[in-house]
Amino acid sequence: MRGSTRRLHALLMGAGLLVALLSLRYGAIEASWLDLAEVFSADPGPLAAAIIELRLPRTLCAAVIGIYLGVSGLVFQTVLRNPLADPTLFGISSGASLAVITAMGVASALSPSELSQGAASSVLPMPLVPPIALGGGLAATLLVVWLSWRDGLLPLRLVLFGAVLAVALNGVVMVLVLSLSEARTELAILWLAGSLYARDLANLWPALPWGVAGLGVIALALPWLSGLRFDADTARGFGVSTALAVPTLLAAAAGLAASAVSIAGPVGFVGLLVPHIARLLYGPNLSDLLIGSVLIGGLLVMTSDLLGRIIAPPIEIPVGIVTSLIGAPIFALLIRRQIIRAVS
Amino acid sequence: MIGFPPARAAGFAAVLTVLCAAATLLSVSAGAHPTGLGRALIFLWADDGTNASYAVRELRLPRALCAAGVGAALALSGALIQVVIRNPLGDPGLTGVTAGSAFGVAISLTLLTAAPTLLVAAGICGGALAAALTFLLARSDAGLEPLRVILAGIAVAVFFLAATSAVMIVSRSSMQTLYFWMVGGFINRGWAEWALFWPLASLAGLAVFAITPLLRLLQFDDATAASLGASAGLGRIAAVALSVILAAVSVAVAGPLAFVGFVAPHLARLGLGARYPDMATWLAVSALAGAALVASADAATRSLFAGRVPAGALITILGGVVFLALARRGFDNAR
Amino acid sequence: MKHLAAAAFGLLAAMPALAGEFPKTVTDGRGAEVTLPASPERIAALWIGAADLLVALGRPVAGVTTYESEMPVYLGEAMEGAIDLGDITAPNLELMAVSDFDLTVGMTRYNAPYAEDIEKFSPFLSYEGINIAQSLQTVSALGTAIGAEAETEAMNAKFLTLIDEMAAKAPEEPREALFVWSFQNTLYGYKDNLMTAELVSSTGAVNPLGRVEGELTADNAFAVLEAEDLLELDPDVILMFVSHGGPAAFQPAYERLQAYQSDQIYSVGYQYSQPAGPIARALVLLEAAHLIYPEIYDAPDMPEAARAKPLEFAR
Repeated sequence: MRGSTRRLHALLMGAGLLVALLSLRYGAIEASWLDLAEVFSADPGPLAAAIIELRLPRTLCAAVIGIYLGVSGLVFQTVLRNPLADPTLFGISSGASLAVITAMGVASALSPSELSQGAASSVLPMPLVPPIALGGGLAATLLVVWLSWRDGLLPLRLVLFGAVLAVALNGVVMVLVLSLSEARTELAILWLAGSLYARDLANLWPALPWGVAGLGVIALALPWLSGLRFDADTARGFGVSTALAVPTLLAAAAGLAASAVSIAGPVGFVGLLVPHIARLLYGPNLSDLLIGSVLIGGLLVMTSDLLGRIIAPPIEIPVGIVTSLIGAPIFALLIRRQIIRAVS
Repeated sequence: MIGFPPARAAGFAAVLTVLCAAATLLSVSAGAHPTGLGRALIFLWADDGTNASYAVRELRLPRALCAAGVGAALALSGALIQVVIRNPLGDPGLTGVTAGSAFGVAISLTLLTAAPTLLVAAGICGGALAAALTFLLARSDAGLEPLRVILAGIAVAVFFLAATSAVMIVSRSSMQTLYFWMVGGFINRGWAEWALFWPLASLAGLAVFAITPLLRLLQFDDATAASLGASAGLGRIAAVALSVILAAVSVAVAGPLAFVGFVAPHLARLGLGARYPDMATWLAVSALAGAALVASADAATRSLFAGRVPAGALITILGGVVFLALARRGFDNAR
Repeated sequence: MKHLAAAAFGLLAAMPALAGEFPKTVTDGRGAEVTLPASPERIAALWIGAADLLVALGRPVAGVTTYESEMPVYLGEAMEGAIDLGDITAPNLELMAVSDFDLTVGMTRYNAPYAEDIEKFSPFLSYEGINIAQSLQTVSALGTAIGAEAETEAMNAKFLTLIDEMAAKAPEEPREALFVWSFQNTLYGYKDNLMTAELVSSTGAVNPLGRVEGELTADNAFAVLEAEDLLELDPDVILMFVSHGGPAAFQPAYERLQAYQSDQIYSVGYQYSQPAGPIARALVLLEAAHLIYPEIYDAPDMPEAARAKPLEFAR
């Protein structure tokens, strides 16, 4: 590892820790560093308690979402050899959203008529949301792969089918949202916007095993990933079996993305941006890029969540909207650059 | 051009026409005032000044016209995109136009006061803005590569969807009502909307048929087109511009109805029984299929759910099923 | 209105006898048993009905939420000291954590899903006020929970008397009045199953949309109205709550409506969107009575900002 790379790792790590601390310190209420230190006392005051109960879990959630999506995006872009690939563009988020909204609808239909009884306690229990989202996201990924599979996976077909399926599923989600009653609509939309509101560790746990397994597979398959940067023949020359490597890596990446979605709903563009920023900073070495994507992903989502909390208190802007508003223009610029490069 | 039996085309077109007419008649005769078909037809002929007559002439008729017109416009818009990208998965949603229009309307719904005129204007501006962005992004000296247009379109669509969500959250709108609009439908659409819709839509529709010779050439790959001595670039730009106009005026009137632009040209291909039917026939039958589809969906939701459900809900669900059934096969056939 | 009085009486009888002593355990609107250690002083009202009740009792409101970014203007200056907790659908948990509330009162459909988070910082009760019977029940239950049962029973009794007086004063020939919640071109007409429409009808007016008999689902208590439906219903008076305020979308068909021709389409205030609190329900009842039967009822005293105005249209 070169010294400059190590310095960069350290710098990003430091930035991540700093943002994490800021994320603990700022919010609707500004805490002092002293309040922050009180977190370690035996009997924390109300502000320290709020930091422990609210800010710490959501900061952790943000970091994990960022790591998952960043690594997932790196794998998608490398395997598909498409710098515009993004897990949220492949119907994964839409599939997860559809599953959750369907479950909300079913829960609502099963509950007794809440209008007459005023006891709407039987909405979908929040702890059930992550596994349902995971199932929906993976199902959508399988569907996209099945639709675009023809003697292997053509990256272009995958992008096109993913985008069309995302549009299709979003349409169905909207129809379902409409058929829920008004109160469910508000909750559903808060979730669909990708929000860390009231997210705690209970939302994080179900997403951890999948995520860790996915990260492990990707780390172990790093040599494959290096080979897959080139076309299939070259990859074979490196001794990489595309028939095995491509599905394994894509499944791991999809699992990571679906796990991220299951924590807080769809958080757009992170998987797209992070690998680009990483390439800009680190150059082409894949193991550096992997670590870089972990660091940058966590940093990006933590920063976005922090911004969403301090822009317009007491109202919180969902983290998914902040990342989308930051990410979409950059996505447009990337496409533009891509096109200019393709032409010249 | 692979030939096909003209009798089959005529028969299929006749079936669609009958379906479209039946849906329109059902739409004109059904509503809160019990008029029935007979009295509705009489009211169409002569206004007797009653509320029932007013409902038929001023409320149901423009609404039915809007439904059929929007269906035809979206079908043409989708067919054009499919020709340009040489891929039957084309849909106006893939050029970012639908999302852009939706964004324009959402802005005017939540932040400005919205008279129908303003709403339609905002929809067209949003759609045009999105289309401009898409082509600005996809433009290069080598012309418009179809796939790049789609990629740029997806980027623009995702951006405008995010921006729409942001507008919704920031304005604290009642989401249900905004979603009600975003699913698309014809509730409370009248002559005001029709008056804004038909001039642009019919001009663009006529222009589509005027450029069919150019469109025919787009079916071949660039090399073949070049060997035929044709300027494929010009045809593409014209086709895409017309597709954008048709989609934008439709979305401005009815909201972003999903799948019509994808399903109607497919139905036309199936009905004509040819993978590459004659371009003009295919376009005409596609438009007819779109009109029949949306008019029937609106009439059905009106009769079955008494206005509670926007037509877009039915179209989205049916369209989604058709999409899944046809998508894989359609893609394979295309290459 | 006899059945309402009977329902309220039944509730009174079912009330636990040891109200007023703390710690006490109460069952809230979602059916949860909650123990309050002491008489709550600092109360946060995520649900406007609770803020309304506290103001009616002359007690301070420690925290309040907004709806479409609006504070409940009909409660006037009483809201000035309250902490703004943000939108009713996602009240700010951090503010709740540090504001040292003794009790947080929420609205079941919006806030109950986050009960676990809210309960970390204070006891949490949640209620609904879908119709008059439920409003009576909720006011009485919440009154018991905060040790003000005598006052809230009196409020309920006074309100039932008001309804009975109105029933007695109702003219022989009732007028038709419709309550509509509008967002641009989409109009939702309330049936009598929903409290606002029920209050409007309690003035002796008739709701042309009627009441759903049989099972009430989440979506059949209101109707999406097309212009043609309005023509068919053609009520004498239309009370419209315009979402996000400002002028309403105009449709040419309005010109054929009696209410339009006689200038009796009104844009009504915040309290019509959340009418379950004791102040809101009385205000809605009295103002609707004045708007529908101006010759019988005078306009009630209320903050000017919350008063109904002739509806303006965006053309």
